[in-house]
Amino acid sequence: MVSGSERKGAISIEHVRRVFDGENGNPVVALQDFSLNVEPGAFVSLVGPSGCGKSTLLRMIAGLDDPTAGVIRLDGKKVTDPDPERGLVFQQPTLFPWLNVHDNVAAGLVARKVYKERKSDVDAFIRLVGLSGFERSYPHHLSGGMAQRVSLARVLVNHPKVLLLDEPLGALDAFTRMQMQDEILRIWKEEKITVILVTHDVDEAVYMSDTIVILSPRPGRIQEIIQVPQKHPRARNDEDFLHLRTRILESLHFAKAPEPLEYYI
Amino acid sequence: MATDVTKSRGTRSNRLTSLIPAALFLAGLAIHRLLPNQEPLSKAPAFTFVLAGAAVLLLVIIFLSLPLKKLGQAYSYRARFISAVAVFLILWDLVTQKFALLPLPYFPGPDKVFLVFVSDWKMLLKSTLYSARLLLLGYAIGGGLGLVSGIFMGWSKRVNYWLGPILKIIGPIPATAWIPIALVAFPTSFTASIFLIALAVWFPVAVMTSSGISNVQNAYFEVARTLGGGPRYLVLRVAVPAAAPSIFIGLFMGLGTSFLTLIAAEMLGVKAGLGWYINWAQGWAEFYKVYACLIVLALLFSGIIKLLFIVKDQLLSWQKGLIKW
Repeated sequence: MVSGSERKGAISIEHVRRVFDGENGNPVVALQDFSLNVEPGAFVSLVGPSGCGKSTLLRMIAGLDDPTAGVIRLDGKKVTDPDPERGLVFQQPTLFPWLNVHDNVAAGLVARKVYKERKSDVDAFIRLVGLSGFERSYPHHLSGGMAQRVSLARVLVNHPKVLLLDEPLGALDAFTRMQMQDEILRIWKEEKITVILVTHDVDEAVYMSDTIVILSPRPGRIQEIIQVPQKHPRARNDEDFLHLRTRILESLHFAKAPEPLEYYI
Repeated sequence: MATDVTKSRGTRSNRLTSLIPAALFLAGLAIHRLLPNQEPLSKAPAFTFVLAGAAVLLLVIIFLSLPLKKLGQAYSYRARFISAVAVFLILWDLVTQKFALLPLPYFPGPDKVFLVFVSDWKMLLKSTLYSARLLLLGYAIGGGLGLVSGIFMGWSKRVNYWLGPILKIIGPIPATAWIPIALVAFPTSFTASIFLIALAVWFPVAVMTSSGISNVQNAYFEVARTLGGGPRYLVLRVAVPAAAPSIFIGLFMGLGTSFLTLIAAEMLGVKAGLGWYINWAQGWAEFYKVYACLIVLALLFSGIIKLLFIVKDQLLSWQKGLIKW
């Protein structure tokens, strides 16, 4: 299912600034001079307090929002509009309730008028997210986790170079969330795709990503970039994991005074 | 929906109670044939056939529901209502034909009313077809224009700027108020009536379509854009289906206003159709024809509404429980 070998997915964010109009005319700076390079096939998490502009950044990469200043490029090409090569999964599945699972997944192919040639992809991606047998079900019959899988398949069927995840697991229960994390990692490896994940779950960031970008509170700026050297599959509770977790929390000013390690185990 | 009601009731008593409606129709038949009349019965025994026919039909249903359990359940759910209909027919016969308690010719007996379906069926059928044609043309034109203008208004701020106020100011005028103007502005009363019905349908359909489309969650459009959807896809494959429940309400409201306008237009201008038939029968003080025509109207209009709801259930199966019919 991975399209040709020329697949890339390098993102460069160059001095991006985003200012919103505030309530009483005062401009609100959501992002301030933000620069970041993401290698093709990387898994990068953006972590930061609410309102630090991480979702805004993701929307700008998706092309749904424009930077006030600065440029975002994908493989050297300037991002101006939404494009299926940059797939975005929202926090809410936002499936089209009038389409069944199969047609929801096929929506992108229909929109781009390539459904006939690529029909078999739809079933392949439904299988990939483990929903075979649910093709004819309508969204209101699906659980939150299933719906989010469908929305993932709906994006992947377009063979995006970049997968943008905007807290996609935030609305799920803890057990489903862990299951979905493993599934996304599996798809990331199979599809050799660049992933940018926005989350405020530090554990999720440490468990999943190669690179964690910590943003400062508004206006959003890069506070620290942390590399996660551990190979996948990772343990969720070993010493390295907890060490990294504590370090990130400290960086976010969330961590309290250091506590004994046993507390966590 | 009927099953849970019928299942909770005993099956033993069902056998007997299922015979009550048929028995009531037979009782009505006996009363009708045996009691002395204040008004002579018609030559063609129309009401006799109605009562006997109903009794036979019910007995056939009871017989068929022995193997067909579903039919039996549907029938026993409706049995009490059918009984009430039989009682109503008996009372109607008694207060008119048998005891002449109501003034004539305004309140004729059932025999006289049902006779119309025998004696004047050609005229009734012709009127029904005329009305159906007028309604279909007017509704199709008005509904189509309502959909198109509603979609444009809901989608484009610029279109809404120009069309919105017109819709809001002109739309609420009942279409029947335009009758004098329509009759002079159009070459024939037929085209004038089509215009009036189309106008009556256009308003609710355009309003509900445009409000439905402008209320579609922005998230759907964002998803569609990131999936590669162009403007055409966004309008036809996202906005319209997302607004479909609202559009359907507009189509339903438009059906109501179209019935009203149809009858009013036919009464005032057109030379054929069910509205014209009512007016014409009234002119000759043939009120039994008015009642017969009302029965046709009831069947025709409720049938059309049923049809709309069947279409709706097909299209909106993803969204249950909008309006029940």
